[in-house]
Amino acid sequence: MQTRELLFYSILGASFLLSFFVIGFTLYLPNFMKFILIFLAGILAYFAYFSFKFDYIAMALISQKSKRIKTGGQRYWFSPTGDVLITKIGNTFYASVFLRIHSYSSYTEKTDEEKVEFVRLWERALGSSEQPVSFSSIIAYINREAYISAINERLLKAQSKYEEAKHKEAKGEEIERLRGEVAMWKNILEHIKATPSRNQLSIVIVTQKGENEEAAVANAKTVSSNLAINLSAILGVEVTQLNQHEIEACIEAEKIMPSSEVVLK
Amino acid sequence: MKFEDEVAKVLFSEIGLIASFWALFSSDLGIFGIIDLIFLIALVALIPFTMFFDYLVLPFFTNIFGIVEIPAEGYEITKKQDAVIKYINGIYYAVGYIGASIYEYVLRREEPEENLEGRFIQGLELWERAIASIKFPIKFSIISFQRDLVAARRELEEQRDYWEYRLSKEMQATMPNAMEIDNIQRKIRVLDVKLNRMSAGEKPLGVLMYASVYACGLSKEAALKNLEVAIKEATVTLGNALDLKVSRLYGRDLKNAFLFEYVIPPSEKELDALL
Repeated sequence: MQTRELLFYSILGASFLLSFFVIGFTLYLPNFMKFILIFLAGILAYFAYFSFKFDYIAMALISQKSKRIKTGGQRYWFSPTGDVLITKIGNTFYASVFLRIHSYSSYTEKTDEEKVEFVRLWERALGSSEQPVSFSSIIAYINREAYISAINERLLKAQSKYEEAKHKEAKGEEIERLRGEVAMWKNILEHIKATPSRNQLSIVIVTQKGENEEAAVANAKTVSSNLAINLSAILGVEVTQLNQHEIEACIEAEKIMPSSEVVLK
Repeated sequence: MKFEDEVAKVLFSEIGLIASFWALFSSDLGIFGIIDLIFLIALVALIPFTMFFDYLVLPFFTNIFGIVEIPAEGYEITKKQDAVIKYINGIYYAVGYIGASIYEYVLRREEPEENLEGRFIQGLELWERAIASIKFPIKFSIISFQRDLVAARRELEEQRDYWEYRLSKEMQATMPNAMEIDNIQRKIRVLDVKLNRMSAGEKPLGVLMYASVYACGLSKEAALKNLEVAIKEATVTLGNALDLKVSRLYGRDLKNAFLFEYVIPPSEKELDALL
């Protein structure tokens, strides 16, 4: 019997016991006690179903006795090669491979025939795998931290040159030119800061399971390489496997929304 | 979770309540009895309500009792069970999920083959426009899986038999309702089209659609507020542009969507067990 079933029957059993206790000792129990016991029996009958329906919450609540209940441990980790994401649910290991579809053409620019063909190809691609497969389109902010700091550096250089020129009482034309340069870098920086750049990624996720990490990873790699070949042949585009850094950029909020871009906003 | 299993547990719990009613009626409690009676009647209704509207019941309880769930290290699910929060580098990130149903969009069409090309063209154009108009990070995902051909065919045939029966009943009625007959005939035609497509060799495909919406803030409240705004915008944009039925995910659905970000159940059976 599964733990959730055991929990369900235990709580329901307690409810029955309370009800039958009231029935059996109805002549000996004071009214207020009977009121409380029937009330409790009702709550337990409901909680039995609640614990079955939301077993993960009920079990955590009972075992942890805290309002902050932990229902999972480490979210995931990576295989030594860094290209397969691994997680453990119950006693089973799951390995996920992320594939990127390199499609750069805009749908709107295609002719009507090309559009119909494109959709038909995608329909075939969706049905090309026997296993469940996830197709995702991600719109993420591009992390422009390095680019912005390079522009900032240029601005600082221009500012120091301008200050130096003013201090040395250089020619008016020279000071004007340096003032213009400072203004230019300032404008560029303001313009970049105004809107975050966005990037669109098309990714495919396929997962396989195994009794141990190695088996799950091997299964996932086999299935994903077949899927990559199929997708590449059907869609006529390059399909590549993502590495650890790229996978994180598809699932972690701080990579999808880099802090540099957030602070700028 | 199997539907039959769940129905059985609902029935057992209701029997548990019947025992409580028995205890109540065997005791003479006066005013206390009335309070208990009202309470037990409410619980009788609450059990099936929990079964069908779990996405409302769980957030209600977690919110009332202030329960915060930690689904994985470094993440927490809000008391309302409507978002996952992560705190990193001094910034709170909130992720919310919306589910999309294409039921209205394609499957209800009487003749799915009619103007198929036109709809294909329009659908993806609207999709591109919708994506271009969204100004915040978003991830739109489709989980596709091949359904068991025999089971899918049997399911459709059972549905068709049911509607055939309803049609014959309606036609034999003393005052047949023309609108109802027309409606039933339309449903039968839709099922016929699906069965014909399956007979022609088309594999039945199951599709699950959802979108992850991201927002952040310097405090938890700010992140959740920004997420609320982003989700509203995404719901309107995707719903209008793609003619989809879009709704926010809560509780178990939210947890599943959080898991589907990196693990896709490797078989239809496992996917069904989760949903």
